[in-house]
Formats: sequence, C-alpha cells, structure tokens
Amino acid sequence: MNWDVVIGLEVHAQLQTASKLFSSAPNAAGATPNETASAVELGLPGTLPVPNGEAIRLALRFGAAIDARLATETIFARKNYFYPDLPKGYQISQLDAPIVGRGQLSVVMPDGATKAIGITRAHLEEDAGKSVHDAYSDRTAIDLNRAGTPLLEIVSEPELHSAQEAVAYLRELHNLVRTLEICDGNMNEGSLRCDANVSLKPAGSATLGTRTEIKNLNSFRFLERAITYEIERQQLVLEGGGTVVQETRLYDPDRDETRPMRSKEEAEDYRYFPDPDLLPILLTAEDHAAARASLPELPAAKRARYEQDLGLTASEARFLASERSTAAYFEAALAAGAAPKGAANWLSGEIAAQLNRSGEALDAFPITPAQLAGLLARIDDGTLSSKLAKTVFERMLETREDADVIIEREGLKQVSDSGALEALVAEVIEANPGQVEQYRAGKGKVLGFFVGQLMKASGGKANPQQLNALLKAALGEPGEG
Amino acid sequence: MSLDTLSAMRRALEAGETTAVALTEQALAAAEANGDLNAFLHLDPTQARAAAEAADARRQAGEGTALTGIPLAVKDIFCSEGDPTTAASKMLANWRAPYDATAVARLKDAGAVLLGKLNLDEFAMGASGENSAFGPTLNPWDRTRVPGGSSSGSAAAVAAGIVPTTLGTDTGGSIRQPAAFCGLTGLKPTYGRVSRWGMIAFASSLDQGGALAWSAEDVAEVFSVIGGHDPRDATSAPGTVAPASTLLRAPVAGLTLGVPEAFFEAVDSALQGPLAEARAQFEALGVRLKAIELPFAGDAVPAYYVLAPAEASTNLSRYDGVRFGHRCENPVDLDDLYRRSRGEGFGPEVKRRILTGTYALSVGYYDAYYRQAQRVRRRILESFTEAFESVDALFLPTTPTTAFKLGEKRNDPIALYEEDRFTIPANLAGLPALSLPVGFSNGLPVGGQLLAPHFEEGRILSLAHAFQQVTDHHRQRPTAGGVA
Amino acid sequence: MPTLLNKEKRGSVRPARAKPAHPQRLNRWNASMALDPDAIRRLATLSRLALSDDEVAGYSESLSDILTVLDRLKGLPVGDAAPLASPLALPQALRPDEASPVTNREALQAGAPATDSGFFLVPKVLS
Repeated sequence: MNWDVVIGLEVHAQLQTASKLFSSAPNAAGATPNETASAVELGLPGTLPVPNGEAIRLALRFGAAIDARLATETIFARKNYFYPDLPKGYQISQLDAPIVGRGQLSVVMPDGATKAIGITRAHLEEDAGKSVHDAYSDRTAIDLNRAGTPLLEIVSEPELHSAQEAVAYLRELHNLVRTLEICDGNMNEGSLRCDANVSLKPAGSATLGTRTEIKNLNSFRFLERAITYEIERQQLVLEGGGTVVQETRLYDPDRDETRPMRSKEEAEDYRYFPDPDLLPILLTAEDHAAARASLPELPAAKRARYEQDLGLTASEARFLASERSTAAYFEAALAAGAAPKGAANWLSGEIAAQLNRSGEALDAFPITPAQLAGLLARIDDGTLSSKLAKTVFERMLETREDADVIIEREGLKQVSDSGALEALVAEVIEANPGQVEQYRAGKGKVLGFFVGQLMKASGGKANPQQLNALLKAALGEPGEG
Repeated sequence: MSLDTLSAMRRALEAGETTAVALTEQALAAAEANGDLNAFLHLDPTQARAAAEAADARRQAGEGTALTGIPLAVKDIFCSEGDPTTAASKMLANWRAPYDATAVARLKDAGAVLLGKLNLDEFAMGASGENSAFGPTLNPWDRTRVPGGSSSGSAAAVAAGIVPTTLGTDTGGSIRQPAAFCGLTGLKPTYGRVSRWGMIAFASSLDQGGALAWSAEDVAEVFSVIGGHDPRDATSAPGTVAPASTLLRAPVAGLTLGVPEAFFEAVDSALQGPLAEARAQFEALGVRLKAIELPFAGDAVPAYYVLAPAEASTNLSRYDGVRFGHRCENPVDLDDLYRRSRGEGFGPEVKRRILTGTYALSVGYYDAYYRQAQRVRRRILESFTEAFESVDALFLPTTPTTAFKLGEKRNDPIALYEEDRFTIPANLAGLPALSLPVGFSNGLPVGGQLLAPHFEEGRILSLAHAFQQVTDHHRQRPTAGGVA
Repeated sequence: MPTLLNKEKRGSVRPARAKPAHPQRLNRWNASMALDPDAIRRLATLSRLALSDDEVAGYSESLSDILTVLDRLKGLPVGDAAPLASPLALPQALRPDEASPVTNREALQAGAPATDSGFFLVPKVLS
C-alpha cells in the first residue's frame, strides 16, 4: 500500500519588539523569575491590555513578504482555558479577522526544485508564561516573564509531503523572519517554535486522513526526526488495520519517538469571543503600503540575483542566501571589494569549517567581511599562494589583525622573483642527481619531490606556479632524455 | 446647617471658614455614628488626616482646586494603592492594590481626601447591596430597606451625610438606581469617558465609573476631574472633559426632551406623581416634551443578562488562587486549587453569573445567545440614535419602585434583574445617563432619569442643574441618623 | 417617529411575569436546553467552580429560570443587524513600542499565596 504524507506546520514566531504585546513591560527574557512581568501580565485586578503598534507593523511586514491579503479590520479575541502559566485564564489571540490572510512562501526543496507552499493565515497573540516542573520536588513554579510576548502564529496549508520538505519550509521561514528583522529565529531559546500536523492517506485518495499534532519542536533536527517517526508509526497503525487517533503528541529526543500528551477528560471549549477590552484595529491602504515599502530584499530575490548578476552557481546562491547573517557577511565583503566567487568559496569552505569547529555563529566570527576582502585581494594580486593564504587566515583568527599586517610582520609573501627561484631550482637539481635521472627516465611524479624540496628551501614561500614552470624549463618533460 | 454638599464645603474652604482637617474629622465622626449602615468596608483615618493636612497646606499656598480638601470615598471596586481592595468578595478579602485606579489617582491629584472604601454588591453584581460578602448596606432613609446596588455604600455614605460625594460604577444601573433609592444625583458617563484602569472589571463593554452626590453641580465637579482620555485603557475615548462650569451652563430652555411613554406606564403607581410633576417642571423651564418610542428597549434585559455575565465569566477567570487572592487550604492538585479557591471565594450570585456567562459563550450556544444579544444591542443603539434625531435628551423613570425591603427580593434573582430594566438600555448603548431626585413617595426618594447622546454629559447635567435651581428634592435629608 | 412592527413579538418594559409559583418546576417550555445538573456540572468544570450537590441543584433551577428570560432573545426581529461589540464607534489607538522596566516585582507579588525566589508556586502539575 502506498501512502501520501500530508503535513502542515504551525509556527509561532516571537516578534522583536521592545515591549510586550499588551503592556510596556520589556520584551526580554529576564534574568530572574517574573522580573519582566508587569501588573498587566500578572492579570491583577483592574489591569487592561493596550496593543503595541510595532507588533501590528511587524505582522503586516510579514504579510507583505508572503504576498498575503492584509486585513483592513483586525480583531483580538479571548481564548479561554485554565493553566497556571496563563494568568488571566484566557489568551488574547485572534480567531475571525486575523491580521494576515492567505499568502505563500517560496521554498527550495531538497531536490533543488522551488515550490510555493500556501500559508493559510498569520495572526497575533500573546505568549504564555513558563511552568517549571523540576525546580521543586512537590511544586510547579510559574515564571511569567514570557507572558505577553507578541507572537505571530503562521499556519501553513497542508502542502508538505515529507519530513525533508517540512524542514525546508521551516528553514525558509526561519530565514525570512530573520531577513525581515521581525524575529531573531533563535530556536534554542524558543523564539521560533513549530507544531507539526501529520496525516497519511492512501496514495491518490482525495480524502485526508486523521491527523495528529506534534507540539513544540524547537530544532530542525527534532522536526525531521519527529515527523519521520510519526509517519512510520501511523503507517504501522494503518497497515495493521487500525485507525489513527486524533491527538496531540510530544517528541521525546532521548528516545526518538512521539508520545501522546496526557489526555484530557473533555475536549476544550475555548469559548472564543471578541475581547471587549480592545476595539477593532483599522488598517488603511497607507498601513499596507508602508508594510510593503519596509521589505528588504527577500531570500528568493537574493538567490536569483546572486546567480544571475554575480555569476554564482545555484548551489552557491542557495547557500549564501540561506541565512540572513551569511548573506549579510557576503554582501559586506563584496562592498569592501571582494570578488563574488572568492568570497563564496571562502564562506562555504574555510569559514564554514571554522564555524563548525568553534561552534560560533557567523555574527560572532573574529574576521570581519572587510578583512576577508583584504585577504582575498592578496590572493588575487599574487602576494599569497592559496597555502600561504590559509596560514594568514589562521593567524587572523587568532590575532584579529588585517591580512596585510600579518603578511608584513611575518614575511609571508610568496616568492615570485624568477631570478631567486631560478637559482634555487638550479641548486636543488644539482643536489639531487638521482631524482633528476628518474625524472628523465619517465617518472613524472618525481617532480613533486623537487617541488617539496624547493618549498622547504624557500621556507614555503615559493610561488608554486612559477616553480612548476621553472622546473619544467630546467628538466624538460619527463622521459625526455 | 452643617456643610454637607461639595459646593458648600468648597465655598467654606475657599473663604477660610473651615479647613480640610475639620471637614475630615466631621466625616470620620459621621462614619462612626453611622457604622450600622455598613457603608464602609475600610476606613483609614490616619491616611485621611494626613491627606487633609496636605490639602490645607496646598490651599494656603494658593494651589487649591475645587476638590482640594473635600472628604470623599470610593466604591471598593476601585483600586487604591496600599489599601485593601476587595470588590466585597471573600476572593479579595486580604488583597491590597499596588496601584491607584486612574479615577482615584485623579481625585488624589486634585487634593481630595480619600476616607476609605465603600461596600458594594460583590464584583458589582447586584441591585440591592445584599450580595456583599461583608454584609448588606442599609438605606439611611429607612434602615429596613436597601440602598440599591451595586454601588450601595456609595449611595448610603452620601445620603447619611458622611461624605458629600462618592465614586461608584454603573454596568446596568449600579450608580443610578442607588442614587434614586437614596435621593441623590448620580451620573453614569458615556462609555469610555472615565478610564477603567484600576476599576475591577465586571463587564468590560458596559462598565463605567461615575459620581454620586446631592446635586448635579457637585457631580459635575467630580466628573470633570475623573473623566478624560487615559492611554492605559484601550477603550478610553480621546479628549478631555470640560470644566464643571461649562458642563452646567449648556442652554436648557428650548431643548426638546423625549419621553418614552411605555416606560412610564410600567412604573409603580407610587412613583407616577413625582414623575409627572418633574415633567411639568421641565416644561416650566422652557423644555418641550415630546412623546417617543424606543423599539427594542424592552429587550434590553435579556440582552444585558447574556452580555454582562458572558464578559464577567471570563473577566473573573483570573481569580484562581495562583498569584493573588483567596487560595483554598491544602490543594491536592491544580484542579483542586482552582475549583475550591474559586468555589470558596465567590458568592452565589457571582457563581450564578459565571455559569450563565459560560453557557452563553459555549460552543453551540454562542450564536443563539451572545451574537443575538449583540444584534439586539445594535438595534437598541439605533433606536436611541433615531430618537435623538428629533429630541435633544430623554426623560424616563430610573426605577420601577422605590427602595424595597431588605430580604424582599434576595431569593429572586430574576426579580432583581428586572429592577434594572430602565437603566440597562443606556449601558448597552453607551449613552451618558443621570438620575436625579424628583420627589418622594411615602417618605422614600423617587428618581428620574435623563439620557443624552454620546459625550453630551453637559446637556443632562445642565438640565438637572436647572431643575435643581427651582426644586428642592435634592436638599431633603433623611431624618433618622443623618445630618439635619 | 419610528413605527413599531411586530409589536406583539417584542419585549416590554412592563415587569416580567412573576416567578412560577411552583419552585421545583423547570420552565422547559421556553428553555432551549433544560440546564439539568449534568449541564451545570459541565459548566462548573469549564469555569473551575467546586459546587456541592445542593449548589448544583440550586443553580440548575435558577439558570433554567434565567434561560426563560434569555430565550426572549430568540425570534426577535433584529433583521440584518450586525453584532455590536462596543458602543464606541472608534478605531483602536495603538501604543508606541517603548519599554518600561518592571521595578515593583515585590509589591506585585505581595498578595501571592505562595512564592519562592520570585516564582509563583502551585501544586505539582504532571506534564
């Protein structure tokens, strides 16, 4: 039996405002419990919500970026349920009249093809606080620092069909919200959280199967693992003649499996209704136009520009545009005079490797884009061989100095003076008659021996291209008598 | 004659004939003498005396305003910083507010002397004062009767001559009905005119804070201080309130007063006389009366008793024993914590309304009740808008009866709901509405009600003020236990 | 002057009918759903209220009576009236995005039943 996999993702992005959605308390993590929770977040008697204009603007910016229908009137609603990290006993969210309507996101899939994934809607809501279950043996501790943080809930159409596609979608969304500067996308810290709805149906069937919801996946890897497990689990159930239970599940990374959340006795009735403490928010054509005008170059446009205007390959373009910080670094290097190919090579090569080793983010990388441009310039003008460049690069990591400073101080220029090199070549040839004979007898590989000797003799600074040319001139082709 | 109106006290203060300290001592003594009324839930003589001294110093420095040095009190639904703020509920019996309500802060900024916090029906839910967790308040005109509710203590404290003015709140009539039962003038401003920040929420789209006093002149003084835009309340209307003098001198002669006859037919016969005399009195002032009809006004009670409990049911979800307020002993788990804390903390009427409101919002009933009630609400507003195309204000009864006996309606929630049928329409439409004394029946005060279009408080304050220049119902005082 | 249509269908400002003489009789005639004790218990669960059996019975009766009042809404000729959420016909004013630090955490927590190290404490929630 072949199965179609149907996946939809609900992503909650914490918006980068200075203050909370409904109060002027700081939108910050807070070092101690409840230090960024004001009376409004605590839901104290007599407190009232007042909506944050910047959150509205950031939500509209997102809507503009996904070409969505933007609301002209948007309404906040109360979603009622009891939980200790929900201080008012209701969450201010949106049901009818969300701020962003139907749009789409262009996603580069694992096979390289670009697919437009529908986004059903995006709406604003306040985040809940945190319940800490392991700080006290017989108590749960409640910290409301996170309560009231503005969230944008982004709901995709069920148009993803594999765990890999889901990850690609989330990566694209992650990149987009960072590029738009509406969310820092820090999944470790919960700035971007993902719930996945997964269902199977017989291949080609028009009827969707029963779906389960996997909540709170906070890394790309967990998203992929959880969906993979869930697909297999559902397949086993269905092929065994059973039915999939509609339920909410959590992913356990230690066991690499999903498990149902504690079942509730009754389905929740959230009793949504428009929040009477808030009036409808009217958004004008000017508001919509301002949102569009505030868009930076979006990742899809970047990819196209890197390929077409800068002559990079599709793969290089994808890599450079995949992360806001990578693109920013790349473009800053170009602005400082670096050539696109060279910058692309170093970013995807040496720099990526170094970041992997150190575990740092590119934002914290010790070498600035301008400094990289300086290093690349010295390769282009022949001052450095690629080997020497790597040495300089490592030194730059340690000392954070410019390439020129290091080259000057340590005399790391490659020697390209043909007179000096010729003399060296002559010396080495004279000192190694046996190898000369072997070369002349046809053993071409012996050339490497001479190159090695010459490198040693020159302290590693000989210009390799010149060396080859001079050796060939002196020795002729291998096998020539 | 002692000083017992705000205007008289103000004149005396300005003339140096009395001091804030003296007025405060008078008020404290009257509070003690009238302790049996149970009007106050909290009295703070120390704080009051300190505020009085500061007010005197301010007046001496030439920086006094109309309210500087005036003793007053506020319904214990307004947060006052550092003071117990209970909403007359066991749920908040031991809670002290960490901030002032905006209305309270503005009174303090004006130099008023806050004596204490006044009794009410629990969480403002009631029309008699009998739903308080701390005992009912009595009517100074007849201590076997209710003062009305939910601003029961606010009305009793003025009628007993303890303070010249108080703050109350009005969601379905809770300022106007007690004002009528106690012979006072009470104003419910336009929805959004007085900030709801720090005013413990009952029904967010209906609640409004306002003032009670003997006269429209005094009410205007307080209203002009507490009203005006507050950025901390998202439903606060923009703009400021005019000074009292402006509010009181809108032209009266030549106005047309609409009279919905159907309302007058529905009142107890005991009230007919004073209401008819009032109508004649308005005519004598040069006001033209015009019979009008208000379609859908008779449907206000069911609409209100869907919308108010629905909003209240969620506004009261925050009282859960977690961060403040009553927590039950030894909760075994979270569910037990919630259920028993709330079960113990709330009184029966509050629980009744929470259940009703939860029902109205439930899946399957939301359209039939909540949405339908909102549609009726719109029709009611339209009725008023249409009426105001041909009239400038409306005159109608405030209550169907005079003050009833304690215990008479206590076990009949629906009867109590019907008490508010003349006052509820103004809350649904958000209109400013004022009750003023229009006479007496069997020694009990009778109130009449004036309504105006949105933000036209000045029109009804001026009408009431003009009425009070040529009548003396607002100068009558209870004889037993009150100030002569 | 507006003319009244369907006057007989509308509510009146006259006093409502007196409460039925028989206190135990639930007015099922008008009730869209009799609020029997099970319904009351469900509502009590949704709103987290602990109710004794007596209370459940009492609220079942009083809410059923209240429903006779609320049911007057049904069939009212509201036509195409859009629901009115707030009497203020004003758009929402928005707050500028300026942060003010919270400086009074202790005062805000002063009324809390159980705190420790800045946390609010509740019985252990099994997650």
